[in-house]
Amino acid sequence: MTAFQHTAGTAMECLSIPITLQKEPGTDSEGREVLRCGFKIGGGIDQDHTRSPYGYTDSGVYVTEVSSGSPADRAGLKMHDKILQCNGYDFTMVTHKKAVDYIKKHPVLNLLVARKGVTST
Amino acid sequence: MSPPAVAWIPIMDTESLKSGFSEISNRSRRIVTTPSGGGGGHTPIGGGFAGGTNINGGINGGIIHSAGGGSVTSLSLPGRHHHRNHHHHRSHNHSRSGRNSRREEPLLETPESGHGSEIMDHQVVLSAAQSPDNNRAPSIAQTPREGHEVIEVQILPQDDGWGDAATAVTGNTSDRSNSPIGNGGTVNSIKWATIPQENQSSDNLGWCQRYVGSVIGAGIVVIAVASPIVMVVGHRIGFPSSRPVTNTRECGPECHAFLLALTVKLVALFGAVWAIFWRGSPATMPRIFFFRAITLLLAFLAAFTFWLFYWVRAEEDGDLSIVGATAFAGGLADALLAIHYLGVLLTEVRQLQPQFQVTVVRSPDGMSKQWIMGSLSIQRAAVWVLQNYYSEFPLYNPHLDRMPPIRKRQPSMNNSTATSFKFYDFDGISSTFTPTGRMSRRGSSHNERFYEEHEYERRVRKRRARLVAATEEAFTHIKRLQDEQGKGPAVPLDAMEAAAAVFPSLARPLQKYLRVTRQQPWHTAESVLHHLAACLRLGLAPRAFLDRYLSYQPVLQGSREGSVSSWALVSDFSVSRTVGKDTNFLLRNGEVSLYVTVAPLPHFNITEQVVDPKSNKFTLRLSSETSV
Repeated sequence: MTAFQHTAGTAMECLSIPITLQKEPGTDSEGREVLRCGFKIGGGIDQDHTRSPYGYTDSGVYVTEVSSGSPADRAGLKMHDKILQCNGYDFTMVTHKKAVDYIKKHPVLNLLVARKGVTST
Repeated sequence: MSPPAVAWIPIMDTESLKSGFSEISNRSRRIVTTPSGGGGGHTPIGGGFAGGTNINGGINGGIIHSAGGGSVTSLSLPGRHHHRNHHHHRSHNHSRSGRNSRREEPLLETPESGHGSEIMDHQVVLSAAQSPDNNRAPSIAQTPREGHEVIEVQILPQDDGWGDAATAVTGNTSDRSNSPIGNGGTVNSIKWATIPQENQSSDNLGWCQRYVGSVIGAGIVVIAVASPIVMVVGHRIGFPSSRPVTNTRECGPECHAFLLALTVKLVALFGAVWAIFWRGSPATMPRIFFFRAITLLLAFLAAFTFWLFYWVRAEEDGDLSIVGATAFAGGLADALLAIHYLGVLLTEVRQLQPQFQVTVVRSPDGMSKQWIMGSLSIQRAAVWVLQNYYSEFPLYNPHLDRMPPIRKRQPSMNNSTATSFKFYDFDGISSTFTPTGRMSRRGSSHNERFYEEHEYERRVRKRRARLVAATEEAFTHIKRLQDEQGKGPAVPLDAMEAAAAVFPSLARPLQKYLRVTRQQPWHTAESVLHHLAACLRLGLAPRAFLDRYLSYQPVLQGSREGSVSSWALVSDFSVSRTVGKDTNFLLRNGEVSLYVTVAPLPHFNITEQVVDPKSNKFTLRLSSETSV
């Protein structure tokens, strides 16, 4: 079973790419000071992956957009990467909200991502 | 279509001989029969007709089930219109068992009174002596079974003699009958089949009252418009003749120019007057029509002034040349055109701009509509409202409100508000609070009313569905002959005959539908046939034919008033005032009242709002992703 067709909760073994992302301060839409990473995630165990416009095949957390010049871009994160782990926390069985919370919590993110074509064929 | 009118009567006679029934034809022939001993062995009525007509199986309308179970139908029909005989036959499906007992049947077949026929007494023979539970037949004498039994039952004339009027008596095929007869009422409580008489409103609008304004106005207009011609021609022929003929009568270039211009102006004036003013006014109003009076006054003044000056010039000074005369005439024509323009603006154009919103509520049934109106005086607004009322409001059906009471449900209803409210007046006049016709329905509690209306609508829809189905099927039987297909088996029929051939198969559903919606006084069999013939001739679809019966016609087409209808205008303010913010008035005619309220439209403040085209950029925002 590949990393991109993973049934949440089952054990899996796959290759992954480690990415270290340093957040930088920025302002969000309401003007507050936040640490922004510069990417968007979608999916989660509570989301219906069959309705995603990108055609994701399982209910993991995927990166749906990386804005150029952002810390995510500099760290090497690419669009449609699936985040497998974040700071040691498993992201294959999280809800969308939890994923967002975890990402926002720490200033430095150590991610393990799976990329189609790179970590799996 | 050849049910011989004569053929069934003998059958009926034999039938009646055997069954103890008799019937009266329109020749008022009374058949007195002796019932033979025992009723067995008589042929059912239906057998005699099945060959001749296309009676459906379920023509079972006029059946009362007495306690004994033997059921009876009876028929009596004036055979005047032979094509109507089908519908009057009520064959009953029950085989007549050997029991001859307990047959009772009040026959209440009524003739059509709308055709001006005389009211016929239908005489019914009943062998009702034996059933003690004969509590439904009105005014029937119990007579012994043997011997001659002739009982007279007077029936109110009904308009729908073409249909199955016996159902009114005995209840319908459905077990939810509204008929008062079947429910213990009497014959006289059938009120809903009479046509209101023609003279319900006093048409005492005399000739003088109606036309005096128009005649005066017409006179002034004629005089004024003819004046220029008279001026010019008069000068030519030496009128007024007392003037010495001194001036030349040659017509120079100015005179020619004037004359040509005068001709054109007069043509325009004639055309204008004919187009706008030379038609009957739509209404006779209680107060004078202010703007028209002003216009006429101005025209009169203009004509008078011009004539005055003309006369003075011609008579006294004697120096009126042809140029002068034509100048006067031309000037008068100009003045009249200007006044005509003013009149048109005042009376026709000013009210075109919408300024008020008018709400009209019709009193007995609460139907309302809203329109937009211009600025008018109250009386003219009343005329305008009436014109729109006659063309847009659906016809008022007084019978819908006077529905006979629904057949009583089980007495164990928990409805305690059904009793009428009694009070005693100590001055010696005691009375019960008799509810108005609307509330005379038992069960004025809201719950019952809700269910009643629900049931009623269900019934209407059911019958409507049957009617539409029957009509569509009936229409498929008619095929238009494309060209000379003389080789076909049937002889080609013209439209009226085709209609009469198709009519019986949809007569019953149509009549039942009309009964349910209480429309049957408005549609006679003749009118239905004519309409059907017209639809067939023009190739209309079945639903187009049905539209007249399924939807309410506008008041104008359905009302039976003459060409003059009188309405009483009740208003708090003087009716010559212009309508304003709080204007209410009432128009009343008989039992229909129209309550009119007027509300002014606000002044609209339109501002321009510029939308920057650069703001027309869009991004896709999916709810399934979050930005971190």
